[in-house]
Amino acid sequence: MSNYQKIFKRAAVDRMRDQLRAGITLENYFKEFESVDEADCLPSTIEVRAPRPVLSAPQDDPVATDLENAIVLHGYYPELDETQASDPRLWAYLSHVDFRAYTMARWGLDGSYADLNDESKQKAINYVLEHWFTSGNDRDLRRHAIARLWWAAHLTRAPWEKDPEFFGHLVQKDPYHYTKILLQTQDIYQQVLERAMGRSDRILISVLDYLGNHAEFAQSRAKIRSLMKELNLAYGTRKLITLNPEQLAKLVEKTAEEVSASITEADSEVEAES
Amino acid sequence: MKVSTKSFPHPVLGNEDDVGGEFKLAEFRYELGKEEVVLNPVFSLKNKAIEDLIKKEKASFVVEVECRGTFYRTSFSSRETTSRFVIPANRIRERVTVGFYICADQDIANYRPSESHPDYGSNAFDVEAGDVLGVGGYCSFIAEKSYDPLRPPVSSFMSIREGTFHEGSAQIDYTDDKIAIVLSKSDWKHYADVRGQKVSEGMLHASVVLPVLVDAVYQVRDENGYYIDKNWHSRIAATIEAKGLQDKSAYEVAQKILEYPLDRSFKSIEGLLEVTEDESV
Repeated sequence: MSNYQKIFKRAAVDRMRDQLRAGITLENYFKEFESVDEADCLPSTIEVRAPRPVLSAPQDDPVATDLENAIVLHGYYPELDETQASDPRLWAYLSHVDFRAYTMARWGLDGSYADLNDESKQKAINYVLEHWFTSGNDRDLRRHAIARLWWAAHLTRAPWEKDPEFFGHLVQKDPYHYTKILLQTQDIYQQVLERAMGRSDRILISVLDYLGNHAEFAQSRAKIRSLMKELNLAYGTRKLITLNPEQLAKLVEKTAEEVSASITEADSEVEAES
Repeated sequence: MKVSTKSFPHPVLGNEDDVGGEFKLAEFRYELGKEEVVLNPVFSLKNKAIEDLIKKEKASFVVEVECRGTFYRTSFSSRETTSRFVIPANRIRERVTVGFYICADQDIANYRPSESHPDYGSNAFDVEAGDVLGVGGYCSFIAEKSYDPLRPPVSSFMSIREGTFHEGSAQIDYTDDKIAIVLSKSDWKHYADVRGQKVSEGMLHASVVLPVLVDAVYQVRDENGYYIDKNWHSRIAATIEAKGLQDKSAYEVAQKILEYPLDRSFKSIEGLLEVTEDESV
């Protein structure tokens, strides 16, 4: 049965954020259920079908299900366009209402409200603002409990369908092949998407393709971080986005090889210990 | 149009005095449609060596488009000084930044731009595909189809809200999509009584909104400002540019955006005084 996704009204999101900032509603973020005033909601034009999926976050390792959750969520909202998917009213509603249990489990607050002092209250408020709300920029979308999953899948799903001229040679059986690489570790997600270059699907997929073909490199946080840093530096004087697929792949490979050579075994051991 | 200078490994046209001649955006128009956003840049290029590279298909004009709200970054290339590029409207929202460059299309050995600064002597450079050969600055626009930058409703970048404190000074919150003027509960009650009435609009604009907007204009003009990624920031910046107010003082800019609130306020006061005098007769 199809229906239309509810979202919060802008005024409601503004008020919720204000009340949280003032600490008035912080206690509610320790509760599994919070009633919603229908007057604060409105139907969107986003068509959804019942039943809504359940996102899982096992207590012992909530990060482990990021990939399956991303695929399930993207499959549930396949027609969402980029403009809709950057609307703060949608994501606030999903984290507070439709996927509240998941958001609590994956990005909830530890302990109890009664244990918080002034300093930890402020930290808790900032943490909730970061993972339960967005404000219209991609940094917030990368960190929001639900938005980050949808965008991870959206940015990486079957690039050969979106841009066959550029990615035609990368066709895979699994449309989420590159989503799997992106969400393989938290480090890959953070290091690759936190850089402004990650906004270019051409650079993003080229880097993920390299990581997918070089498992050892992809396991090293230091190497991934250095690779992205070096590519970012190069971007300052060279518009990598204008390169053709072959040129871009060669550049990523050459930069990664230089990074591998510069990061010594001792560095890797320090990294492993940390 | 803004131009950032930086240190390149080779001389770059438009980057300080690296290279003589000119590369700039002569004109830039954008069309916001329901389905598409169309960019129409017109370039002006005067440098023999780089003109030759473009003619020989070794370099191109490049337009780089970036939208921080939707994970969007792409580039368009052309060898014509007048171009037309199309972006699907649903790929971008709010502030969109557009950068203008000339880039090498292939590796070029012994690149020696004409009229390069004497400091470079007779040196030649090996440039690679993608290397920037010319910088033409960057600009931004607001990709909101229902939004007319020439007549922006103040409510698109500013709101007045009730605070959680009972009395005391009003506060400004710059951290959201819109600037929020946060009134005490006591002030909010008075505000709620008079808002929406024609007679009070000019006075509210002059007494409540104008001082905040003046401060906001200072924030927008601060190149190292803290709020550069906020939607209100880009909307005010786009309005200043669209209205041609770049050279005006912050106080004058704010008055023009609000369409002369002091004048409207004085007229409202005069109207009220006339009513009072009539009542006293």
